[in-house]
Amino acid sequence: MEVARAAAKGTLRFGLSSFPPSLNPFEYSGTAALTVKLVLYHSLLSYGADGLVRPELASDYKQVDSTTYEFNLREDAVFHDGSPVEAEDVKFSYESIGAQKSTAYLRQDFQIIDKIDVTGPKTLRLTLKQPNAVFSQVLASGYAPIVSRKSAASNFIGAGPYTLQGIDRGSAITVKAFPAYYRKDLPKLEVIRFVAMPDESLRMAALESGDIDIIEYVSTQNMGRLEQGASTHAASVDGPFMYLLFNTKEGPFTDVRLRRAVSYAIDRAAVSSFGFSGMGKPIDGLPVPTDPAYDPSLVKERLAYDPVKARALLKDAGVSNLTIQLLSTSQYAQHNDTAIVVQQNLAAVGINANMRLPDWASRVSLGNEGKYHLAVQGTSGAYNDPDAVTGYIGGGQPASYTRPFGYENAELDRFLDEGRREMDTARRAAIYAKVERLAIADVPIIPLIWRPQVWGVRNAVKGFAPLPGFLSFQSALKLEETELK
Amino acid sequence: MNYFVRRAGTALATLFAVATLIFLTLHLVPGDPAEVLMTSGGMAPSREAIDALRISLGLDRPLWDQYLAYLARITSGDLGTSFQDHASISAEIIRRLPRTVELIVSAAVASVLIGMPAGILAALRRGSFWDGLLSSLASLGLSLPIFVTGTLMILVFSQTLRLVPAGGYADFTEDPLKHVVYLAMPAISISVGLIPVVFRMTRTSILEFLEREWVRTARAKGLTERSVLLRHVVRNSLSPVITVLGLHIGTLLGGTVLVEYVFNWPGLSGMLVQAVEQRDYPAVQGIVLVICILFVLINMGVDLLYGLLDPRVRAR
Repeated sequence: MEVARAAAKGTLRFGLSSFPPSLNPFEYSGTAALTVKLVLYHSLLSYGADGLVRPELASDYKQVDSTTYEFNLREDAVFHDGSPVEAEDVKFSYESIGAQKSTAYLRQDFQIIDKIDVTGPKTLRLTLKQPNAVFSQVLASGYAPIVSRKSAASNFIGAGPYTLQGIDRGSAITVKAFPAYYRKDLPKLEVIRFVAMPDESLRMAALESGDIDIIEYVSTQNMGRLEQGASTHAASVDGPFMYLLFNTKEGPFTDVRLRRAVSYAIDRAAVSSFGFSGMGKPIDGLPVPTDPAYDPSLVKERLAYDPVKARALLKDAGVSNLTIQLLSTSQYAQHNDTAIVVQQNLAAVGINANMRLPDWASRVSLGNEGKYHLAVQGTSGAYNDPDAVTGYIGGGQPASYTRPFGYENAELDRFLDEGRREMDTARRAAIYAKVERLAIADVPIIPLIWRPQVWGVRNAVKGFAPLPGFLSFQSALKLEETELK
Repeated sequence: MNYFVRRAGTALATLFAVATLIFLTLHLVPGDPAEVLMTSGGMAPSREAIDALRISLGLDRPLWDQYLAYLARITSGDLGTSFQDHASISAEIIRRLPRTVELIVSAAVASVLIGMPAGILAALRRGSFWDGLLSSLASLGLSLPIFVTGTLMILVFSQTLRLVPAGGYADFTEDPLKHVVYLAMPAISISVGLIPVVFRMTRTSILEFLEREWVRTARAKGLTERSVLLRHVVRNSLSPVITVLGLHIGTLLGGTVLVEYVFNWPGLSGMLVQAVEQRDYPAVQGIVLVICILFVLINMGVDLLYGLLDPRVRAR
């Protein structure tokens, strides 16, 4: 099994924003956990530095017809216990994710798989129930890893570039280079030590004093300090986004005119400068990162700041002295600060917003139960494809704090469905233009700004760069190429 | 004997009240553990997934049913498993409690070693320059919040002078030296707030006892000043100091949160805050119970210490 290869060397210390509550590769347990999981487990497909889907444990794959995909697995891929990665393992993993009682994050997405046929030890065919343009994106997700069929929950065996060496519960996780990893001369580091440091000032201090090599979740206020530091720099991408959502079932915002008024009342530049050091790029349409299937130039109407229009709309609706409940959380400064700006913007057009700023857990519950009129939220889509907006504005889904409460729009849903089934990129772009036009007119949510996702990196670290857009949370894929100079 | 039984009875009643109160409070506060578990980072799980998780965590059962099961569990000494990763709560507390205790004990020892001599000195030289200086320093130490002291220490000692790491933890069995290095800053920043407490209490108490008749008697019968101070004044003045220190140590058990947060010390307080944020009911209940038991034990310990210091208490 031992292949002649350059020895991995050095220990990289990675400062996580929280300790991963669980390393179950199929379940969602936060972004810090995903970072660790991505070096232990790999999926059939993954993402390259450009954000495009690339084969990972598959050596290649092709789409035979609109619902059939064929995969060849890498000859050289082995699990951490030394056994080869085979088609049966893929079948086992996907069946575990899609199972009736599964708690896997992608359980719902995997229901689209009709049949998994193992056609040889290293080949398989997947048949879908209906065409799906984002199916390869689902398979590339960090939540769709391939684990050994000989392993079971809580000790799943993966085939990633690193193996688990030790867990100091609550404080650190250490991983070691896997010598039989399938990519030649990778990983470059011998050991990565993930240290949980919930306090951002401590992460900054540890980075600056050289105790830690990479830190995540740096706020925009600290970016300048990292750039000016003699031995540090900032690596940043526009990742998640901030938005407002309405309760469209109860209260004043069942009236679309009032939703439009709020939309015109919000000054995105103020949100960006107050909460994000002026680094939050305003969003004037759908929250979709750069993607071939999304072309904002197709839609003339854009979201804009126009308080005069906002007041006029309120007047038209015959509303004066409106008081609303604004929900956010004081636990995260970005949510808190956004809410403060929104409250002031609303006051300027004559809407009085009562703020409710509980801790995150309470905020989630209140959001899920629709106990708000207007709420502040920040999130990231599953992938950069415009289909990801289904998660925020699509109907027929359970109530969630990430979606406008009670919102359903049959026409919008039809377009979203059409976009998902369509394979041609240009035709998809035309469909999502219709989605965008509808979303701007009906305002179920008000997208605000792109939030820079920032890592602090010591200059001695080479080869680490975040992935673009919503994929930024999967940037740990780059850790196999990261080295210390 | 009677006294002991009464004390134990009160202690048990206290524990029962705390256990019930913490159970009710946790369930009354909004925020559903299953939702929190599946939504960190702004993700939206499906309703079925949340419901499945609620069932597997036993949260779908009626509240009284959960309460009875909880009481049965804790009376048999089982603190249960974490909602987060099903790890044993008692094992986690056993791992983390010593770290917090270590922090507090080092800070307490430092406070006694520094605060007491300083208090005695200030009392004996009442009104002098030293008394003034030490008393002002004590006021400063008392009024500095721990996150200011901690952050300042990180800025000076790790970022500017680069003497010690900014924060973290190393296991004593793996690297004793590193362990002590990591321990130093958090322990010192706790003692910055604790030394003044000991100092002030010692000073006041000694000043009070110096005025007593039996001190005058001791002097009158010709004892040396040294003997008067050590055997009659200092020894007697220790009781109030120990009471106050004991109370402070008890409070610190759940109150080292900020220090543990600032210095990334993986102790019990940090675990408690995290458990509350995540609505990890078994973890919160377990930690609060353990802290409560320790608080009761410390108070009993303080009573015993009185006995050693003051024969009159023993006789009672």
